[in-house]
Amino acid sequence: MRILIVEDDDLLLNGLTVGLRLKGFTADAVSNCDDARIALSDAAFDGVVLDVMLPDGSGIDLLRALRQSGSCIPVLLLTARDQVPDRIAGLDAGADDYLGKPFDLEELAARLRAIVRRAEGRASPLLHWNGVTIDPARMDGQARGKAFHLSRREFTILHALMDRPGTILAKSVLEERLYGWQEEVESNTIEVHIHKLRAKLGADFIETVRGVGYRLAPQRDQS
Amino acid sequence: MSIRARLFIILIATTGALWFSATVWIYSSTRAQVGVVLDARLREAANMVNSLIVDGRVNVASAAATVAMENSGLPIIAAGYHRQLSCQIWSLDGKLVGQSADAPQLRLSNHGDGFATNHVGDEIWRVYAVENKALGLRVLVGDNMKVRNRIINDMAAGLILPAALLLPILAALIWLSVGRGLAPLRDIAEGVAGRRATDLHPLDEDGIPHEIAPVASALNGLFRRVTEAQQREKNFTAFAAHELKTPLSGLKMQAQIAQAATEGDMRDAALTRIVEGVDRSDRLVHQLLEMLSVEAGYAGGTSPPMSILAILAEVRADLENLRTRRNIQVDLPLTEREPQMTVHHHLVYVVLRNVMDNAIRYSPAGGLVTCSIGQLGDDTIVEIEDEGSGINEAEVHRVTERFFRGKDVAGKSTGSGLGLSIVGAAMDQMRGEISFHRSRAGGLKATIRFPSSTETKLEG
Repeated sequence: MRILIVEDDDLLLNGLTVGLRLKGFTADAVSNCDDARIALSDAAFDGVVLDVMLPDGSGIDLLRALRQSGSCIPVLLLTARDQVPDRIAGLDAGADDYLGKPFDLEELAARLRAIVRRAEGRASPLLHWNGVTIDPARMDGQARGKAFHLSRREFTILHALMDRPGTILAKSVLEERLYGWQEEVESNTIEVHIHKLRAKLGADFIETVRGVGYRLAPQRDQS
Repeated sequence: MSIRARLFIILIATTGALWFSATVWIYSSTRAQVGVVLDARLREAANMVNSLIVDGRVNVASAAATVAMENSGLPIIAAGYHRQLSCQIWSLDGKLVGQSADAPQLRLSNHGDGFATNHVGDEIWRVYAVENKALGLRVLVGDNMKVRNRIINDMAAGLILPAALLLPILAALIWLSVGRGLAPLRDIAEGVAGRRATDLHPLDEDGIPHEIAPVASALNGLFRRVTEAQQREKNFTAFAAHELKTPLSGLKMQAQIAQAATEGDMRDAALTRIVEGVDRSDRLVHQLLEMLSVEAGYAGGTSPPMSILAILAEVRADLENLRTRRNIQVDLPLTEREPQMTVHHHLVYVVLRNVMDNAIRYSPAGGLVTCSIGQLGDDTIVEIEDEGSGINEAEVHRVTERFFRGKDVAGKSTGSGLGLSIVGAAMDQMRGEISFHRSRAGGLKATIRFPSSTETKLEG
C-alpha cells in the first residue's frame, strides 16, 4: 500500500516514513500543503496521513479541497488537539479516521489498513487469490494451507498484485510501490523479488506479460 | 435610581415649580386687577350719589338707596355677590343722613376724601369717601372685603383648579414620554443583558441615537478586543499543543522503530533521532518558558550598568556549543564608547540571544555572523547579519508571529517558530523596534533599536 505522509515536523516525518515502511507500507513524504497537492495529482496513493497544522495552511482545508475535487482517497488526520469538536471538524471535512498525537505506530498501521480496505470495498482484511491468502497486518500468508513468510519487499509486490487481480502492473509501477520517491532503487530489482515469490507460491501464481509487466494468473476452479 | 425615575423627578419638580410660580403670579395679579376695578366702581358710585345730591334730583335721605339699584347694572354682580355696595351719607357734624338698605349700622369710615380700609365691627371694609363741603355732607361708599376676597378667590380657583386637575395627567404623560425617550438605551441594555456569556457579536450601530452611540461603539470595541484576545489564546493553545505533541509523537515513533528494527543501522538511526528530538524539545520548552516570562512583563529589575557589547559577548559565549558545532564565526564590534544598559538586561539578553541563535542556525556551515553597534540619537542600534538564505520578502512581516516558520525552512529546520515572536514581545515591552532586511552577503540582517528611555510598557 502506498501512503503519502504530509507532516512538517522533521522528526515525526522521518519516524512515520521509516515506521510505515517497517510495517509493509510504501511511504512517500511531503512537508507542506503545496507539495501534497502536487504529489496527490501526480501519483496514485492508497491513502494519506495528513497533519492538521502545516506551515502553509491547514490540513483540514487541504482535505476539504481534495474532497471537493471528487477524490475518495482514504485520509487519516493527525492532530495535536483531539477533543471531540476537533474530531468532528476533521471527520466532517472528509477525513476517514483520526489520530491524536502522540500515537502508536501499530495503531496507525492498523487504522491505515482499515480505511484503505474500506475504500476498496472489502469486508475482510485478508486478500485471497487462487488458494493464496495474505494478511496485511502480519505481512505473511498461506498457500494451500501452508504458512509462508514474506520479506517486506516481497510482501509489498504481492500485496500490490493481489489488490487488483488480473490487472497488469508495469515494472516501473512496482518499483515505485517498492521504493517510493525517496528510496534509492537497489540492484536487486523486481525480478529478484518475483523469483522469490514464485518459489514460495508456485511458479504459475504470477504471470509475466512480456514487455508490459506482471499480473496474477487467472482464477482456477476451486476444486 | 433609574434614569427614568431620575428624569421623572427632575421634570416633575421643574414643571411643578414653574406651575406654582405661575399660580402665585396669577393669584396676585388677579387680586390687584380686581382691586383696581372694584375701587374704580366705589369711586364712581360715590361720585354718582354726590352728583345726584348736588343736582337735587333726589333728596339726601333716599340718595344712598340708588347705590343698591346701581349695583344690578354691573356685570360682576351675580348671584352671591348681590348688594355688595353699601352707601352711607353723613353730615359733616356727624349725623347719619341716609343709608342704603343693607349698609352696616356702624359708621363705615371717618376719613376725608379718597380710599381707606377700615375695621367695621368684625368686618373689614374698603371705603371711598366724597366730602361735599357746600352741602355739609360726606358720602361713603364701601365694599365688604369678605365679598371682595370671595370674588378674587373664586376667580383664582377657576383658573387654578383645572390646572391642578391636569397635574396628574401631566405627570403620567411625562412618565410615559421619558420611557419612550429612553427606549433605545433600554433596547441596548436588554440586548446586552440577554446575551449568553460567549456571545460577543457587535451591537448594530445603525439607528442608535448619537447620544448613546459612544456607549455602543465602546461596547463593540470591548467585544472586539475580547474576541481577539480569545482568538489569540485559542490559537496559542492550538499551536502550543501542536508544537509540544508533535515532537512527542516523533519521539514515540522513533522509539517504536528502534524497538521493531531488524537491522542495527535502522535502530542506531532511530536512537540518534531520539537524542536530537529530546534536544529540540528541551529548546522548545525553554523558549515557551522564556515567552511566558517576557509576556508576564518580567523586566528583571535593575542590574549593574552593562554595555551592549558585554551582553553580546555573553550571548556569544552561551551559544558557543551551537557555534562550534556549525563552525560559524561570530564577529563582535570593537567599540571604544560602549552604550551602557542599566535596566532590562534580561530583555536585551533574550532579544540578542534569539536573533544570534537564528543567525548561527541559518548560516551555512563555516559562515560568518557579524554584529555591529551604533547610536541613533539616544537610541542604541544593534545589527546582526548572517550569510544564510534570508527570509522570503512575502514572509518578512510574519516572522514575529508565534510559531511562524518560513515555508522554505519548515520541515528542514529544527526551529519552533517561537524565537522571533519572543523577540517581538520583548521589543514591545521595551518599546524598541526590530526589522529585517537583506544583508550585503545575501543573508538576513536584523536591525534592533533599543530605546534609551527606561520606561517599559506597564500594561504588558
